[in-house]
Amino acid sequence: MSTDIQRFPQSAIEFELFVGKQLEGFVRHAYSRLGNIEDAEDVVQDVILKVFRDRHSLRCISKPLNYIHRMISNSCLDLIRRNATRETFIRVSLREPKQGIEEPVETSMMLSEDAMRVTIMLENLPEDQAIVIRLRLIEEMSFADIAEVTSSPVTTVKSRFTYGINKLRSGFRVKKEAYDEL
Amino acid sequence: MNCEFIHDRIADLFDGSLTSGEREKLTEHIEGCEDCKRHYRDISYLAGMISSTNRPVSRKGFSDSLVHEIRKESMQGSQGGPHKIKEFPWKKAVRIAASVMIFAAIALTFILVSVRNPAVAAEKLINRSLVAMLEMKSVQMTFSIRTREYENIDFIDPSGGFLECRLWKTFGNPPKWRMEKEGRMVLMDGKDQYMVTSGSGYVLKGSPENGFVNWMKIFLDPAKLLESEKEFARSHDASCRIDEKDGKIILTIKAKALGNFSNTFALNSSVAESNNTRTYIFSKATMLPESMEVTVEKGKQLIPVIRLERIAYNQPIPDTLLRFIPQEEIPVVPLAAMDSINRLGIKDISSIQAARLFFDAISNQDVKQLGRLLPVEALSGSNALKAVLQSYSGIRLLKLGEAFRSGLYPGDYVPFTLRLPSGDTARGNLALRRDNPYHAWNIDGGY
Repeated sequence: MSTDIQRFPQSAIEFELFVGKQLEGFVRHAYSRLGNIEDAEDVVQDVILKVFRDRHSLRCISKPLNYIHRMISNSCLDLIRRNATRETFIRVSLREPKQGIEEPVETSMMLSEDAMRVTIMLENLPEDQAIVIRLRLIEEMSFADIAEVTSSPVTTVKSRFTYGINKLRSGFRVKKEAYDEL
Repeated sequence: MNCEFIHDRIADLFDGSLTSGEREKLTEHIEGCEDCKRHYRDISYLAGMISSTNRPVSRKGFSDSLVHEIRKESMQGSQGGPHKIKEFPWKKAVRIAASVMIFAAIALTFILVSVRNPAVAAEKLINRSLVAMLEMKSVQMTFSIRTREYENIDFIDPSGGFLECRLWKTFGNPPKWRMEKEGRMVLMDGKDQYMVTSGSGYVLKGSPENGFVNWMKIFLDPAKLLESEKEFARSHDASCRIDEKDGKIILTIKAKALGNFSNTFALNSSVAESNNTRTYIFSKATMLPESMEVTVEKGKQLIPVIRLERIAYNQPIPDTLLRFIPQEEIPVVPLAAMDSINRLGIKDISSIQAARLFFDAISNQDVKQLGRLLPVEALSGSNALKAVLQSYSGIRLLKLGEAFRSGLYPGDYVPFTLRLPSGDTARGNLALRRDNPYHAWNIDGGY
């Protein structure tokens, strides 16, 4: 995903196109860290305008996407530290319906419940594991790129993914069985 | 390979980093092991759930507002945007003393730079104007252009008379616009561009970004117009000057002709292909451009070719003006379809040979051959080709000259001499191009 942009956009138009393409991913990343859409947008806006101002000195950065994600990550951590405590949050967004195919109501409801459970469990995972899972599965970044964004070795990133996803699996099975029994 | 090892390597299955051999070994084990199969199936289900359910996110308008901020930043960039810097208290006194000197130095530098480098001053002026344009909803313009009826919208003829050309544009999402002069109209209705040429018997349809109005598209967005002038002001080929008079700011840019002029045939056929002077007049109160004029050099003469007589901002524009209304019996020809027709075009010959085939087709009243050289006509399904043959009926080709290139035209011009049915002789230059995927020659007009 990040390998398709190899040069830091320099002109305003290039920059706008680049941001337009990646904006949702940036906001999702910030939102997953902060749990508040207003804060997430503020962080993204600050980061984007900062890198836009500094774009000439950043022209040698070979992976601008990773660079910006890393800045977002750091800015979120700064904000969390400033706010001292982070409120827990629950985000529920149901799977987008496929066009032209309507799922049976029961299946749809079941998926919605599963989605909600997974979302809640993901929120309760340790932050370093949750962020790797999100960047890999939602933003479709490679483990090598995630390593760059999170300033961690690739092996650590892979371990975090494995621990995290295995925890989700265990928790999900327990919860699902409990729910199904009800 | 045991199950624990597989569970530890599960991340690799979600990455593209495994070799095909490694992947094969892993999947082979998973397929043969119920426990691992269930493990992998569960994780795939979770992964699918996560990747498809977590799609909030940004609120409506956030993207637009960010782009707006980027543009503002871009415009203020060269003026030095506000930067907050943390400051130690003991530095305050030093700062106050220094600021007096810095202010004096900046003022002096600004004066010197503005005087010695008009490009910097022009850029500042344009930046201020761009900020003033950020909230623009619509624009209407009326030009006077020295041109010929039915010619391309961007065509200029310094020896011709003035014709009126009008433009309307709304900056909604999507933007819509219309530009027209006598005999020709180009409309972008938000989805497609249409070019209507009176008497042609068809309407051409292209993408929203199509170049039917060529360099005139610069007028469709006053902000981009000024951006482009900003680029010019920075370049070595343009010089610029700023004057102030009667509450107006006058920006003058002198640019050299662009293109290949080893043959000067296309010199002065458009603004870009002319040694020209562009003069913009801005209101000092609103910082918006109020009018502009383009003059071109012809020998020692300076001839005005475009006058922007009137610009109206944010006036309502009737939607009907920006809607394409098809007319019965006038086919709409998609420009994209030309590519398929170009397969039939004439290639692997010189432009002179292609020109000869064109005149032969006219002499022999050969519709099929003519259609291979005029693909638009062939697509239209109309009687346009027959009309062409009829209008040239009785002409005889006397001579073809050497093909040449000139200006910015991407094809060749081939000089011709014809004997008309009246017995008179006519001379001109046929324009042919083959910048299509099949390198097939197309007749593109000429003059």
